[in-house]
Amino acid sequence: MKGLLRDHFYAAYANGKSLVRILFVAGIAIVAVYPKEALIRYYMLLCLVMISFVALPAFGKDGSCRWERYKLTMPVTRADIVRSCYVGQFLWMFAGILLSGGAVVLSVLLHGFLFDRSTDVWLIYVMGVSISLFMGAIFYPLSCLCGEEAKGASLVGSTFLAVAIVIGLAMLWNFLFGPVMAPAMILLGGAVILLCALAAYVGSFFLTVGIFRRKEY
Amino acid sequence: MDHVLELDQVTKTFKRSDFKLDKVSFSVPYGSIMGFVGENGAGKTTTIGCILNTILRDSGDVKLFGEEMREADTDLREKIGVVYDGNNFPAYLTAERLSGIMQGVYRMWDEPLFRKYLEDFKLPAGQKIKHYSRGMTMKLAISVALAHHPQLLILDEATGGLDPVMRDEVLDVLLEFVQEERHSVLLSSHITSDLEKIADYITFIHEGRVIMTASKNDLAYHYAVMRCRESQFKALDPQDIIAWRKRDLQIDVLVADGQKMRRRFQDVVVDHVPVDEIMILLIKGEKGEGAMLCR
Repeated sequence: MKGLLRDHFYAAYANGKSLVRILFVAGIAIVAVYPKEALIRYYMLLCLVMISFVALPAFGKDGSCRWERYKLTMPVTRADIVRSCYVGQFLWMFAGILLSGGAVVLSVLLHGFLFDRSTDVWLIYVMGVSISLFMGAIFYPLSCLCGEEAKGASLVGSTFLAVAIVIGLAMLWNFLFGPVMAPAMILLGGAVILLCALAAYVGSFFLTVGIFRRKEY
Repeated sequence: MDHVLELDQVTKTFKRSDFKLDKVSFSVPYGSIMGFVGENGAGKTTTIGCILNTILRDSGDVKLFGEEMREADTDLREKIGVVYDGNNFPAYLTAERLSGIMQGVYRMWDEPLFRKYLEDFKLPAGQKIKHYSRGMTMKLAISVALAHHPQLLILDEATGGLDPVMRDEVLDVLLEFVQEERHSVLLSSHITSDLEKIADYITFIHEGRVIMTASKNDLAYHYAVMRCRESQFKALDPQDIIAWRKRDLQIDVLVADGQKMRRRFQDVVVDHVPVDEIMILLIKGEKGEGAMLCR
């Protein structure tokens, strides 16, 4: 697994090192130059979602060379290959959390707490992480089924679907318990959305393994 | 004889292209180099895919080191080194990073040995693979395949596109590899001259079927082509004819025992021919009754 995780990291890094640098510089610029609550909120969401744009296409990257086929000849199982992608994306998402968290901490140190409510930071993270997890949950099996040629479309499609699902779940929670909720209910709602995203992510892993086991190179 | 690789009646059908691998059977003995030759599209890569489980065969058995290799049998894959034609590795990697990946995959990965191969082949470790020439990428692939101490090397058209000097270097590496008693090589190629240089056995495949397996020595010293006139051709025992092909003024007949044919037909020219001429006769010629006896 270690080797496959390294492979995933190098593939993702080759994909998006420029994007990661831009996000890093943008974070500093927003916090230092224009510290508005809305901008920081969007930046946090952007970090979490855009990081997935870096990590997800690493699955089957460079299929034009023999690398994807070559990996199957190595002493790893197909489940290991899929697992490395899911774990790899999770780790990149964690890096996104750290990046956006760094921006929040910096803004608090420099300008004080800019958000309206204490629950806002939690909700932004919930939204961002959930979108990222749903993206992965949809993208991996779709990409496996549709192949290298449709990877771009799979990525865009899974992003839109993920955003729609998270907004849908939030609206459902508001409908059931809103519109005015105690902070505990808001936190619980966020946790429920996050758990749904995690469950979808885990379930998607088994689906992708099943599809990948029948793939031929 | 002990066999490192055994294929028995392996079949695979591709519905879209209507291509079928049809009951492919052959074996690779320990300590030998098996040449696997056929024209483009004959089924060499498909056969290798069925061996390595990158293609899921419909039926038949494949045994590696005496065992059926299933997807979960990672221990067996530790002992196999693979080299494909073209770019085996992503262009954004360097040899150093590739080594880091392989170290985390192969239990027997030998970093000092890999470094030695990089030095011997003059491959820069820190340069991205996208800047490597074709020969360099092939040498890198061979270095990676050898650096985890495999027992079986499988090369799929690995020498295609290389210049003669590079091909010679690669073939020397393979010859050195089989010096060890339990090391074996399966080398698929349509460059028959490479196989003539190093192979111990050659299997011919055409349109998804194995048409002949023979030792290289037999092909070189026993198999021969008779250049017959029509009347001489009619006088041949059908069981002696492996394949035949009508040319303008003669009929070329492939036989298994050239010496026997020389003694019997002293007025007929009997030539020992290179492997590619045998291959052309087998593929383009008509099959004789003797063909069944050679498989």
